[in-house]
Amino acid sequence: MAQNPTIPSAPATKRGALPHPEEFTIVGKGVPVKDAVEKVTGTLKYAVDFAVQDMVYGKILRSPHAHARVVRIDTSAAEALPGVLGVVTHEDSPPGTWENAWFNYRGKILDGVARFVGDDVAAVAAVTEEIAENALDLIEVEWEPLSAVFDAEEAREPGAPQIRVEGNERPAYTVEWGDVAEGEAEADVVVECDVRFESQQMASIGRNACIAEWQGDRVTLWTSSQSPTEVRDGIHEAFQIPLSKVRVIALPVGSSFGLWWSANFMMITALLARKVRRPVKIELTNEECFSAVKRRHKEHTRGRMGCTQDGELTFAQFDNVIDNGAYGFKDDVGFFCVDMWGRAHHGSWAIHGVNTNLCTAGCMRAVGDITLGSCVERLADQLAEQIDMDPVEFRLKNQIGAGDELRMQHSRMNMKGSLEEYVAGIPPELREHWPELFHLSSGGTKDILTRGAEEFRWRERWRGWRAPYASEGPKRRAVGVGTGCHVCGVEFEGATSAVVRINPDGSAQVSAAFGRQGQGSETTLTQVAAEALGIPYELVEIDAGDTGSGPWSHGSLASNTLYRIGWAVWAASLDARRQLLEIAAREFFDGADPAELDVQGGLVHRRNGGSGVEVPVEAVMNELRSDSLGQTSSITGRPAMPMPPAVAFARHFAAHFVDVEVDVETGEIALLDYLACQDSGTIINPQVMKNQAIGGSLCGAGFALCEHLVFGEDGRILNANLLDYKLLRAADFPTSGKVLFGNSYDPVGPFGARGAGEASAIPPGPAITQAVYNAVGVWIDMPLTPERVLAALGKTG
Amino acid sequence: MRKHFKYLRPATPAEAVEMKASYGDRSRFWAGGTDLLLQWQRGEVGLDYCIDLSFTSGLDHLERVNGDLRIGATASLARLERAGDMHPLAAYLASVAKVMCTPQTRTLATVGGNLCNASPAADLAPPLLVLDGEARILGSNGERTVALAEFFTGVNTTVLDEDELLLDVRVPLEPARQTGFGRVGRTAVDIALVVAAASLSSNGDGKIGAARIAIGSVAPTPIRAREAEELLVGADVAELDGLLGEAAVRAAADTEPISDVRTTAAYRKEVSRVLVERSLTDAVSKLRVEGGA
Amino acid sequence: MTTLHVNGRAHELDVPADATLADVLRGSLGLYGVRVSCSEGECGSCTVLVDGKPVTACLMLAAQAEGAEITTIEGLAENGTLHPIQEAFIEEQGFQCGFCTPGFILGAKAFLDEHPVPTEEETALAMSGSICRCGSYPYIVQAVLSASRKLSGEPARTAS
Repeated sequence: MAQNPTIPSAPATKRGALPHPEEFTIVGKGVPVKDAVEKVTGTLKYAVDFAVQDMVYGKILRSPHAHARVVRIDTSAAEALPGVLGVVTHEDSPPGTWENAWFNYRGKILDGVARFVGDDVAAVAAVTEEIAENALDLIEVEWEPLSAVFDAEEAREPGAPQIRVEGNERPAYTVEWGDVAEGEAEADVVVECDVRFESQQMASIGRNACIAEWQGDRVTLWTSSQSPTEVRDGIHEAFQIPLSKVRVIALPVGSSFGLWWSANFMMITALLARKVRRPVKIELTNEECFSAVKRRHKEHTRGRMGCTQDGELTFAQFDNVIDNGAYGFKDDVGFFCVDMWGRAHHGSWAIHGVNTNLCTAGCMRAVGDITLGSCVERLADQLAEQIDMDPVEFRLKNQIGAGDELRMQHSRMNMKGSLEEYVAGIPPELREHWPELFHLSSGGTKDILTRGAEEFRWRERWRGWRAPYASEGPKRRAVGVGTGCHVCGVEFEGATSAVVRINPDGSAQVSAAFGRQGQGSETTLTQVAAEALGIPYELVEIDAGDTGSGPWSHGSLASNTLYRIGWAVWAASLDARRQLLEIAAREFFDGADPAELDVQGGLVHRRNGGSGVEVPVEAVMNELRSDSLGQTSSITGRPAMPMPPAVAFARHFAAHFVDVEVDVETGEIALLDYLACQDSGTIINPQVMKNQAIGGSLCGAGFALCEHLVFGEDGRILNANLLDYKLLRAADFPTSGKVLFGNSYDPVGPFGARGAGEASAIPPGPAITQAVYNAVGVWIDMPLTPERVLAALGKTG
Repeated sequence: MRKHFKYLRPATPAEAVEMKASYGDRSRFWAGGTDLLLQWQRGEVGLDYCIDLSFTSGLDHLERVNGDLRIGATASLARLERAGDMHPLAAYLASVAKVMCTPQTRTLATVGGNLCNASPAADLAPPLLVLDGEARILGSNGERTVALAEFFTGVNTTVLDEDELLLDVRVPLEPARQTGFGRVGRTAVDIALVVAAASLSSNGDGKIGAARIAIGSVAPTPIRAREAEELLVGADVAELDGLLGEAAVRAAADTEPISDVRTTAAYRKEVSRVLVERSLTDAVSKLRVEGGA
Repeated sequence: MTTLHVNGRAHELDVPADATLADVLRGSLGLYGVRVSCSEGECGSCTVLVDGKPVTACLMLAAQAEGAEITTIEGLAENGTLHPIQEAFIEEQGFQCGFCTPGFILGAKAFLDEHPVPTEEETALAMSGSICRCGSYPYIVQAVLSASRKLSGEPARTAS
């Protein structure tokens, strides 16, 4: 054993230290999804289905005002209603301020100020939901209305109503390289844009509930969440109690896309449960989920780009204002389009996060890249048109590839100490496998654009800019392409870990804190563990989302799970395997060197043939148990060190091709054909990945075509329901579900895999908008609703 | 305070009318309930008594009688969707039912409910109007018949008195009538942003004998574009083409749409013109093929 | 008292007259596979079969369902053996988070009962009564088509 055990050594293979796809037996295979039966039989339990003994029901009183202060609140009539156990108001709220991951929320549980229509004011617990609801009507609130501001740019003005104690605007987040003025001088063509984006709503079907139960000074929460340890952190911060006294069990989520990380209603549930000394369940209605939790930011992007006659980008300059709503606090979002187009000779990007008196805004799938990134794509297309270059070619010429320097340098910003010290501290045996620091580790769009274009018959269908390939009556058909890039988890805010245990009977279990929101991680992480352990997939199970068993992790956000939690599961599995092989070598292989042994299919054997002896894992574990020197009956594996710091340099990529038909008399857009191409390194489970790719396509296509929250003049959301917040349906999207995977292999990610969930939501907007431009000759801002299309065509005056 | 209502189950239309008369404006007829349930839950409609027509006899027929298609008030949209074989005009109505709401909602939702809820966007209203549908109504004072063209009086309001029950809608099965229909929604399933219907018939003399144009979602009630219709009557079937566009412009001029969370007034006005023209074009092409046989 | 026939058994339930079928199936009978989301008949998650026809249970009063045979997802598998439609959804992985899945499966059952050999286009239209926010529509459609082949005794198609 090495003197300084750092990363457990990967099993030796023909190709060097890291395993290669050809040798996989579980990873890369379409193994059955772990919870498939529960899903098709309706037995999977989400938070809304969950109950604990003796629980009572809570309901939240919400503000009718966008900005107002509680002068007086009288809960006596509510408390007197038969069946009511108690009420909490800001007077009961602990003084701690809690924060959600990635600055998505910052505030006290209740502080007597309402900052958006629907903001939490008070909560009631009663023996039935109906009584709790009736009690809300009996709470009397005297309000002092405050001036409200609903537009981010207005909220930046001096004298604007201050929404946050900390002020409305955070310092700008900027990325700069070179000198934009030089870049402009170099350019033969320059284009600019000024685009406003509406808010998308996660609209996750599963709604949510939270159940909180205190036992003494310890609390347990059950809720649907992508990020269990973040919920635990929030309770710890808000209530100012030790983390060890908080247990969060994150239940499966009926989809999320960022909505269900940690949310204030979870804190309120815990507060109410503590007050009434009974377990409390608060279940949110669909309207509450739509309008009182979180949404995507509204954004305003102004940009300029220039290129040479040969299509080389000389500069990219963007200024992006995002409205954080009432409690959002983001400024740090690294929009990875900056990396994607970072070959531009000069760049200047600035992001301004500003609060408004609208519902809190925060990360929704592919935050920032689906918006700002689509502006970059549009300007790229406009440049390409001016130099008469095919949009696929323009992207191939300018987009980032493996080994290129990454422009997003927030990892440097968060690093402690100097870069030199940092590099010097990395053990040499690790450095040989790692990508160069601050350079893209693997992948890119070149492969997926090239093969995707061929698969889509792009050259056949592309007739040049603004040249539909078919035109009949009022219908115009044309194709478009779009690309996107997003992160694979974010480092430097805490290391991710996992635990793997081999049981006495040779089965194994993984414990990790991640979310089950449909991304298939309970399956793919198990595949990673099973492959790394050499134990059959059917014998490996995973606990997700229980902070009592899974170590800290950010959770399943920022496309983090497979890349980072997966790496931790892999490293923990290798540690467990190492311990197993040490026992096996001693007990069954005459004291051989454990490095000469291998385990596969649950059987330990010598590498390179040998005697043909195969020892079941269960037999090895039995030795452990009956070993007079043995201390435990199970092996526990954990990563010996955090994931390599090179993690921040992984990105995942998507390139989509679309064929649209526009009816120029009604403005309707039909998607005739769609090809989603995805580069996420090794594909652990092909069908899981196809679902992610098409799922993201639908999310992005919805944003492109019809989804937007409509705000009234008083800041209320007018379409907080599925009748008027439109979601695409099966007949709105091509049924072929074609996905093409890129061929790349990450040197760090588990078995070469990288993140997957978000890049696929980015390209639909640019691809569809470009295709519509090609069909009708006009650039139209999203959402491309029928009336926006007709207005853009000049048909409605 | 959450309210509750009492539930009544009349066995016959007469009993239903009696109940309605005795409870007055504190009661509502409940057919599929797909609109009413939501309106009650949202507090838009007050309700102490729900008079459930699901089990009431004599209301769910869907049949040809003498020269009519008779559609009972509680015949579901799903049954209408499957009644196409009865007659080409039934097939027309079936094709409209098929694009309304969802398969699940169509199982419950009724023709009568769609008409009596009287949303300006009711998909069945324009087609039934262009087929000269008539509403047969039962009240405390007996039965009466009202042309659908007079049935709708405002947003969510009809000519029905407090105690009156829609029994069925009757559509004359005009042999020579050809039809057209168009609607626009934001996605595959949607309330109509605009909906239009047209019917044309010829008297066998090569000229348009009767023309009907109806548009929904462009005014407080579904409207008939009568001046546009008149433009077409007497015109030569073989030489109509420019006239259809003109009629469509005339029809759109009759609309008074609003802007709402779904779309803009300008969009509705422009697209009503387009859908009317397309509906007329559709009807004309069938007229030229099928003639007035 | 309201009598409901659910998954082959009769239940006498003391529920308010204005209780929806969805609330009663979940709250009184513990059938959590009837998933309630939008409560306005838009998303299809609460789809059940009433005399074999698909209905969003959130829009139906329990009282309206008296006398009918109600089937929820819990009633589809027989003695633990998955229905071919459920198997097809697993094989094609026509789901992600699973919340909408029971509604789609029951909607598919009603559709295939009436149209045993549908086209892809007809299937996509029929499946438009439910929303899958995760976006598995193409695989849901493939699952329904695969189910139709299973139900008509056709050999399984090999993966392309």
